[in-house]
Amino acid sequence: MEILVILVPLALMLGLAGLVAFLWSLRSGQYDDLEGAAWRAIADDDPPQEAPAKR
Amino acid sequence: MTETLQLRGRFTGVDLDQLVDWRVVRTWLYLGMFWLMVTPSIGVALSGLFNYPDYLGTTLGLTFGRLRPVHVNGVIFGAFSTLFIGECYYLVPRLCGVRVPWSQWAVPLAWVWSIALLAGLISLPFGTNHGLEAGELPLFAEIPMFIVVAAATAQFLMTVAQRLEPQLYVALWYLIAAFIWTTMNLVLGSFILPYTISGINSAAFHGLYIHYIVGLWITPAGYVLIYYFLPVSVRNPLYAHKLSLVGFWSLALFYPFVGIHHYLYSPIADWAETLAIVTSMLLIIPVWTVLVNFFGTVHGRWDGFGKNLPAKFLIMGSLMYLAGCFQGSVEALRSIQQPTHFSDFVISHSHLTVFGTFVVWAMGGLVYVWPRVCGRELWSFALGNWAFWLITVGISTMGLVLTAAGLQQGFEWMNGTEWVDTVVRMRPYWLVRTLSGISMDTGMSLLVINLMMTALTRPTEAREVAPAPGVAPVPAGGSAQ
Repeated sequence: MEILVILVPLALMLGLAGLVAFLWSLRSGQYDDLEGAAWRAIADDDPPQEAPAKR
Repeated sequence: MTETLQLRGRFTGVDLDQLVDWRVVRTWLYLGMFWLMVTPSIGVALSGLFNYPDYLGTTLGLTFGRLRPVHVNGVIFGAFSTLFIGECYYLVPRLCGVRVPWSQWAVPLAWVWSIALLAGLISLPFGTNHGLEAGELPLFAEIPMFIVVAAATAQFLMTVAQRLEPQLYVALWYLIAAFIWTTMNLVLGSFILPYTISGINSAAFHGLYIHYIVGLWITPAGYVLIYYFLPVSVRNPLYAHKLSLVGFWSLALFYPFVGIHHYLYSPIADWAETLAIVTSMLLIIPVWTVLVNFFGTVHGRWDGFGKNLPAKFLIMGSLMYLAGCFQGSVEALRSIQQPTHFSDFVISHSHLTVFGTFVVWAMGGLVYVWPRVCGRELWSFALGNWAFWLITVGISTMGLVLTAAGLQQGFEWMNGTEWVDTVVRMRPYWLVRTLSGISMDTGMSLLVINLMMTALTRPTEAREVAPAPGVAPVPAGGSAQ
């Protein structure tokens, strides 16, 4: 059971690493243009033949 | 049109088809289709043992215990992972706007991956097994497979580092995470865990490893596929990119803790189990965010949806995901774990998620990419539709019968029913399970036949533009001109 001494801090560190990565991405302007990123993903070789559906 | 150009930003003038190394994609997908034909079928062969325990003879190598890891590892690392990595070589350059570096290495990587896996799987019936679930493969398979994952990770990270637009699309977030987590996790599961720690300590760590395989490889890898292929196949932008990123970061935060829910009521400390239960329930957040997003993305595109084969696979997989993940989260509760542990309920959960969701999403991506690899339309929509429905009916039936079987048997055990009596009452369920497996296998065979015919017919004709959803597909001989 003594493995929990390693396991729990390890899991906490991994969770923390996720948090740090998130805060970094927040500061580096990753979320400034969310719509643009979504649109670029579908801007494929053949453009849509009709206007995108209105929501 | 001008609007499209503005939206493309720095992608303007970039021919995305030129960025893809088609030989790499083709090699990985061919090998993926090989695995798709082989490893799920081993599961069907195995399921026959439940009703007819002697039909494979008495050879030790053909017993359930020896063959089960062949099926599980074969589906995870063969059918799913090979298709996934192949599809990544298609979508990563398109999302980044740059080529994948060192792509001449990616073809040998595909062969190393598949040959190592094949050698490992063949050795399992002979008894080379670490005894570590989802980490059974012997060292001579694990070392090359680790090298392939590490090399692919390096390739994709280099591509992402050189991307044209700084903002990452959600599929790339998941891709980065899946590859980095898995490279680390394979070190743990392949090289550290089997040799260093034993007993209950090993179990606690193994919970971490196995849940990372399903949660930090299969899950984010599947998300990469659907977040890319669903918007492009229905030609709608993702419903809410912000929401998808909430899902991503909550996955990254909660997943490291859930592993121990595989070992409730074990000697592992109660508080550690409780932590795993709480985070397992919190995982409902990423599940619901992705589902809201998928159905929102298809919104407004439902007319003609029936003709859109890739999107059909992706949405069917999403419905299975809803069911499978609900099972997964409630299974982690102690009161549900009590009747369901060791029962077929767990098998229902693993099939609805690994097959029903992730292999199905990989097949959706395959149906989307393969005609583009071959530069022509899918050979037969009708055959593709048959494949889709055989797979759908098969996996739905399997999910239902195994859930029912598991709950019935589990509660009978809790009520002290004679064990053998509970087994006898499982037989009709198991028969239906085998039949539904046959249905899924038939569907996958038809799918692969369809894709092979796509590759083989009309080799001289130039690439045709894919029709918009709702338009009938071009028949086999080409449209009347």
